[in-house]
This record gives sequence, C-alpha cells and structure tokens, in this order.
Amino acid sequence: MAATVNLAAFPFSADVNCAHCYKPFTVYDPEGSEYYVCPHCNYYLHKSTRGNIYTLEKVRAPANDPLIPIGATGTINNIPYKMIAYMEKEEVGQSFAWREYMLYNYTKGYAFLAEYDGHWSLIAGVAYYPELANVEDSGTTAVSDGVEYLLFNKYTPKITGMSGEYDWDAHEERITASELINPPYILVKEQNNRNRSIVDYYLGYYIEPAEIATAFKLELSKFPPKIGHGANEPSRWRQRWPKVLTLSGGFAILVILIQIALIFMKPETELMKSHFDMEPQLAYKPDSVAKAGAISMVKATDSMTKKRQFDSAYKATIDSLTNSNLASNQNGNFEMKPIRTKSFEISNGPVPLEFEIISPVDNNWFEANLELVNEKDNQTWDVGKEIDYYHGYEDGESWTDGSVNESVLLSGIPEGRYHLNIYGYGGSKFGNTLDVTVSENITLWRNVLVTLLVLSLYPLFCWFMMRRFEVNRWMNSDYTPYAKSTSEGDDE
Amino acid sequence: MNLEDIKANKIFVIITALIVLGFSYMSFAGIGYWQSANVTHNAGYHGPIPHSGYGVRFYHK
Repeated sequence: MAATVNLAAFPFSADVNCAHCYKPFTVYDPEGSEYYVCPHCNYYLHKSTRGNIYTLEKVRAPANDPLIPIGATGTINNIPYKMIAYMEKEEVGQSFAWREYMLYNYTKGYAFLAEYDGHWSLIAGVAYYPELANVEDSGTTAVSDGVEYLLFNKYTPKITGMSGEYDWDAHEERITASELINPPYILVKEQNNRNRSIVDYYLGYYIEPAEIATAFKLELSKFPPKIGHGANEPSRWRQRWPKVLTLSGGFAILVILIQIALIFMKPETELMKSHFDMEPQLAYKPDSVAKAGAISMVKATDSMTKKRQFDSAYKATIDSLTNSNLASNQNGNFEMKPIRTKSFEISNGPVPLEFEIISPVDNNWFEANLELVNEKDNQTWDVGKEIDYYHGYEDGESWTDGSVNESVLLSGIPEGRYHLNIYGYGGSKFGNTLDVTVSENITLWRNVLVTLLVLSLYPLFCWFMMRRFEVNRWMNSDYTPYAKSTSEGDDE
Repeated sequence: MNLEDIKANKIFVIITALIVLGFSYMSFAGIGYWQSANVTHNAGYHGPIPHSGYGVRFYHK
C-alpha cells in the first residue's frame, strides 16, 4: 500500500493504449497512476516520467471478478471514493487468501477495502489518519493516538492476481506486514523487505458488507458470507458488557438500599422467648394401674395396716411402672410430653418468622416438631428440626459434629394471635430442655442474595460470550493472549 | 451510562426492573424465596382450640 495526494486527478479519467496489445483502456487517475494492468492482455505496464508507456511483464489476472467493479464510485463516511484497482493476495507459505479493493479519493489519496472470509475492513494511511505519524511500536503492541493495539498476525503477502492502476510498483513491492488489533480497529504495519527502515502504518476499521453495498450500490446477496470471527470484528458482547455491568450494578445497589430501608422500616422484633423442661411422655397413665395392683396386694383387714400396705405397694408399683412405661420405641428414642407455648401477637403481617431453638444435648440429639397455630382460624405451619451435637477425641484429635441450636424460618405469616405446639423427641429419657425464641421481621438475606444472583446472570452470560468470542477470534492468531486449547473444537 | 444506553437495552432494563420490583414486593410482604425445609401449611378450620393435656397431643381442631 502507498498513499498519494493528487488534487487534480480524481474528477478526470483518460483512455490509454496498452503497449502490448494496443487496445485502449480507461485510467481513472491519469496524473497519479504510474503502473497499470491492461484489462485486455493482463500485461503490467509502466508510465515513464515522459508519459511513455512500457510493457513490463504479464501478470496473473484475478481469479474472480472484483465485487466492486473498477471505476465504481461510492461514498463511505462522507468521503467519496472511486474504485481503481483490485488485488488478490495470499500469505507466503500459507493458504490464507484475501482480496483488496483500492479506493481513491482525490483529496486524501488511497484507501483499501480488504476482505477476508467475508469480513471487511476499510484501511487508510497517514493522509486519512495523521496520528499514524507517531506510532509507538514495541513489536507485540503498538500505541497510536492513545489506543493500544495487540499483535494479531505477521506475514509476508504475495499478489496472486491484480488489475487496475497504481501509483507505485505494486507488483514488485516486497513487504512484511504486521496486523495489530483493537477491535473494531486494526493497525497495519508494513515494513519494506528491501529497505527495512521504510515502515508505513495504516489504520483500518471493521465495516459491514451492507454499508459497502449501499455505498457502491451493490447487491448485498453477492457478498461472500462471513466465516468465523474477523480479526477486528467488534464483539457485540464486548459492546454490551460494560453497559449491562453498569445497569446491573445500579440495580444491585438499589436492591441493597431497599433492603437497608426495610431493616429500618420493619425492624426485627422478639415476640416470645421461653424455656421448657421436656419430660418424657408416658404410654399410659400408671396411676390407675398402680392403684389396681396395690389394692390386689393388700392383705390386711384393719384399716391402718391396709393403708400402710397400700401406700407401700402403690409407691413400689408406680415407680416401676413409670420407669418401664416411658413412651419409647425399640431404638431407645423417647417421646416427650407436648408443650403449648404462651401466645404471641403478630400485629403487622405478613412477616417472616424465625424460631430459634436451643437444646443443650451432649453426644445426643433432640428433635422438635414445631407447629405454629393461628388461634383465630387454626391455620398451622408444621416444621421439624433435629438438634444433634456429638464430640469426641480420636487419633489424637478432638472432633465435634452438629450444634446445640437450630433455627426455623417461616415466611409470609399473616398477622394474628399465635402459639406454638412443640412435640419433642430425644435420645435420652431425662434432662432434655428446650429454649425457644420467636422473632418477626427477620431480615431475609436469602432474598437479597437470590436477587443479586439473578441480577448477575445476564452480565455473567455477557462476559462468557464476550470471552468466548475473543478466544475464537484469537484462535486464528499465533499471538493469542489466551491459552491455546488442547482440542481443536474446544471454544475455551 | 445514559438514556440512550437504557433505550438500547430496554428489554434487559425492563426484565431487571421487574426482578427488583419482585424482590421489593417479597421483602415488604415478608415472603422468602424459600423457607425452612418441609414446612407443611394447613389451611385450618374455625373451631375451638382445646387445651393441652397430659399425655395427649395438642389437637387444634
């Protein structure tokens, strides 16, 4: 690529005769162009400073007709262009091939539409982008106008077919090209292989085929389909990501503020706190059984002796019955006498309720089935919780398992008067106690967490898609900042 | 972030706003996304509530 400025040439064109086949053809920049490819015989021609045209050599014609015909005019970003040359190129030693359409603007000079796998970039030199005169280049990165570009590709291009006109000897040009990207921009560095001190920079940006089709009045359906991701193709996920992140962050802050406001508006309040000694349940009333047994054991006839014998027999019997009569199953699990707590009032429902239950079990367990009863309409909420706490010392280390306290959360409890029925079960007969605390307006942090989690789903999805896009983009590069995948089809 | 960005992402903004509204409603109504496991809610009926007794359960109907 080379840039030129020829103010006078663009509006005019001229016909010249081929020095080889002598047939006339149109030159669109007769003042600036010095090299032509005859469209009839494909001989490469050179115009001398005196204006004479010489034959240089026959060059290969492009394999395909250019999508934008030579001589076509179009305006992109308010800059009028005329298409004056077309080149098909490939990377030396590789199979990568692309096409370049050379556009000419009479005030700024050459610009190029480069197409690879259906992805287009509009690339121009320092006449279009004066900042290209001050590129800070470190090899793998370059900074131009404060924008950092990362090295994406480095190659030696080779022309495989050409047509049109040039103001430099395009056919004999030997360069090494480096492409550095910061999508949608691409910075192209061209270093002359014959004189390494000659380095030119070009800046391009990704352009949609539809824009080119509109500019040059072409049928979009004739454009090649996009394959994969272009080197500087902008990722819509990358464009969306910062906005989605900002919006989600704003909503997340709103959620936290609402929750903080709620804490002040509906503060957590203790409704009831009680301590219960849990006594074991008996399967039947031992009293009548003991009385019947004691009566049968009384043999005396005088009333005093009868009374003494009865008392003695009754005491012995009832002690025996009570101990053997505890409601337990064969595993030694003991049912406790049910307890009804005192009533408490929920005055500003519905509210979340929390029951905190504490039972100081020691290498044992206690299960409490809690039944919240609305005393007006008998609605109930039943829930069971098991407290177990075990500890020991094994293999030189002490261990603990479980806890002596548990909590139960019920949500959306309407206002009204309530009490708790507590049905206890324990691993031991005696010594079971239970402390129950009922609180309303518990802060539902789980709601906050779930909401924040839901709010983060789409930003996470955007991030994932953005990263996947970038990984796929850089799969075509030898300089990927992402770790190379171990398998071919792996996106990551 | 400006009005144009919000317009460009209006579906996302609407859905997100609905999520926040849902959160606000649930929080003010005291409804948790989930409560303690295995909670059974019985609608109940209008009737007398017996007193607890020795050796019997507290039937509430």
